[in-house]
Amino acid sequence: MNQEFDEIFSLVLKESYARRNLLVAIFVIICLTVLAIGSVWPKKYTASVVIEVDTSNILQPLMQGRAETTKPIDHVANAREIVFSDENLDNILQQELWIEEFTTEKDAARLKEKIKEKVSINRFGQNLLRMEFQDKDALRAYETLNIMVDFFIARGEQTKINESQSAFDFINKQVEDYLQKLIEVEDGIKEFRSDNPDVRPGLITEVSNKISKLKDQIETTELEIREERIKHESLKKQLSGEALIAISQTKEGQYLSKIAELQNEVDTLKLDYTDTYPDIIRLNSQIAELKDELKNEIERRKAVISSSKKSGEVYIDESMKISPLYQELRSSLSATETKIVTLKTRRAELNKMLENEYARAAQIHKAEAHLSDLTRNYQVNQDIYQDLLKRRENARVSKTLDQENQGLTFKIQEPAKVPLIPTGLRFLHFIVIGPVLALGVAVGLIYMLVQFDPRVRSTKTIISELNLPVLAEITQIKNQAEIISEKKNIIMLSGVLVITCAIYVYVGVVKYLGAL
Amino acid sequence: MSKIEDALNKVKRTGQLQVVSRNNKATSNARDLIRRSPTDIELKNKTSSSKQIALMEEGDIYTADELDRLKIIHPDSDNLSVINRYRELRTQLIHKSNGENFVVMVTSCESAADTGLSTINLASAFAFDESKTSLAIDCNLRNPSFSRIINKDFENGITDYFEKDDVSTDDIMYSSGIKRLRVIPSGVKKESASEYFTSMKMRSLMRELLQRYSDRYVFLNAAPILDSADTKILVDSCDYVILDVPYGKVTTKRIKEAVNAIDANKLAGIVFSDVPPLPTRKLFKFK
Repeated sequence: MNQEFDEIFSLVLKESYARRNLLVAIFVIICLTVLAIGSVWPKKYTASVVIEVDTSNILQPLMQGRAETTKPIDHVANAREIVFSDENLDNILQQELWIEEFTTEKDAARLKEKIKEKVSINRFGQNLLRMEFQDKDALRAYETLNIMVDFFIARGEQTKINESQSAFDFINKQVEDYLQKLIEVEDGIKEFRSDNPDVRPGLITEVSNKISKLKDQIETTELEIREERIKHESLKKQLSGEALIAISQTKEGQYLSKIAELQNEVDTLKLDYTDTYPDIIRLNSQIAELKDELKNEIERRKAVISSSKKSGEVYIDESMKISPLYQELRSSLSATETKIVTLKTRRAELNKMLENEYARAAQIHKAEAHLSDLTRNYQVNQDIYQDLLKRRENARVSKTLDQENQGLTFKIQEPAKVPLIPTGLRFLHFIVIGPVLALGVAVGLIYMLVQFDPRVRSTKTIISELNLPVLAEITQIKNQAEIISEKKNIIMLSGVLVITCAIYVYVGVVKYLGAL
Repeated sequence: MSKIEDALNKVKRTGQLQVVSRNNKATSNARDLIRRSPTDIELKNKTSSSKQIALMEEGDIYTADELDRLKIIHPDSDNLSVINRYRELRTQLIHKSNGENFVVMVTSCESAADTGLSTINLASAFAFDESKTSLAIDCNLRNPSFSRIINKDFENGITDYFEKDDVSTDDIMYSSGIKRLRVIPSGVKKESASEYFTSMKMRSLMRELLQRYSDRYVFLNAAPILDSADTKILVDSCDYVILDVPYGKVTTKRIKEAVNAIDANKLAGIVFSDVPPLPTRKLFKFK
């Protein structure tokens, strides 16, 4: 790499020396051309002004929380539109500064385009605009810029007034729209009420109370029915054979107690008497009789049970039928049956009533939903309407404020000054650029020749690319006459360079003295 | 007469007189020709070469200043770098031939190049050595340059030798004004000389020239090889070819073409010439 660089460097040196006439010519021509351009290069003065722009849109605070503004305003484009408007440009051309610059309409149009090119508007920071005007005359640049800025600010205020007016108009229209909507909803509610007169608030509670009452009643009825049924069952049982057996068992008990009583008497007597005592004999026979009776009774009962089992009927003893107790049981039984039927009828009635109430409740729910929908609509619209009313008053205030020029949108942050130092390329730049450019071009050309010319300039190429032996590298031989002419040539070229330098210094000094 | 005496005295003083034995190695065309047909000339002239050198008729010898003006190198020159390069070139060629004398052709791969001065300078470098003589022949018949280079007018040239029967080698060989260097100019300007260079007479001429003195080196200045059929033919008559590549004038492609036109065994190598010099100190010396 380094070696390669050395190689190229030495080739560049060799070629430069060999082509020194051409290089000096190029150098001198470029230097002098740049110098010439620099000395006639027009001076440019730039006047600049910084304007603070109130970036907030009037509708934004007015409609805060209610609506969003869709796009941020491009202030640069806005400003450009105002400054480049024909109205503004015509206004500028009418000024004394410019009136002499044109005679025909065509010239004026051309001049307008030129002025447009000289204006630059840039945004920097959050809400600052820098407006610049460039001209060859410092004073004219300053004056023109001032005219433009005045126009821009005046127009900006006008637009602000228009904006607040339109904001007010907008809100006003909204207020009216919402009023209309409110009236519509109110009408809807009225209509509904007249269609459903019994739908009133609290009705649904009434219905539900009734439903729960009905449910209670049904439950009570159910309970009564169950009770009566149990009663009926037990009456039936009393009337059946089971009851008879109970009676007959009582009879057996009577016998047994009688026997026990007699036995007791016998036992007492036996303490004093022998068994042959007549009383004892009598008592014993009595006991035997009773025992027989008991035996018979048991057998009879067994027969009754077996016969009743066979027939499946309730066996009722004839003697029993005529008893008052039996009669009473029979009448109770029929009374119970009647009550059960009555209760069942009541239950059916209650169920029907409950269903009716359910249907009524559903209807009320539906109607109530519709009503609440209407009411809600009304509520919302009313809220917005109230809010808009307030906002309309705000808008009215800001409109008045703008009309009286109280809320400024544009503020001159940094006023224009008469520019003292020209901007852009100055003569000093040309003085520096000239030799640098000239040297660059000259060396660049040689470098390009060395780099891109395919002709062989180095033995290295022959050795590495062609792989041929190089016996010798022989430089050009010069005789005395040639050396002398070379000397002369170098002196001549040095002279040319010195003259160029002298021209440079001369022009530079003259220009500076002239400028000072 | 006095010059001959001087030369003899010098030889005696330095004791450089040596009979250089010839190696009979068959290596190249020119030598093969000699071996195949030894001629009368060879036998007749077979004398001590050193003596011959000393006795050579030199004519007017140029002074150092005159040579400088003609851009011909000489041992006392200030331009040491160029002289050393030519010396190196000489050493390499002699090394290549194992010390035997030879015929070397100098040609260029660039159409407009003139290798006349290079040929003369190479021949001069050989002639630096007092034990060697050199002979430069201008074979560039289309564009002869020797007359201009050594600033002399010649009556006859190589074409006369071929065309006229009464012209002998002695008639076309001229002293150059440089010690131990003789030249054969091209003679009448010709567009093409292929028929001469292929003729028997050419072969016998080469044979004679090489053979007359064992320390004589023959240098042919040929036209640029890519533009001349003569040069391509002439390659057969020489032992070595030196291809001259001028700085910044030819592409590698053209060098390749030129190399392809030369027998690979005969190509001694490339001389990269005409390299532009950087300003020397000499330029800033004001007398």
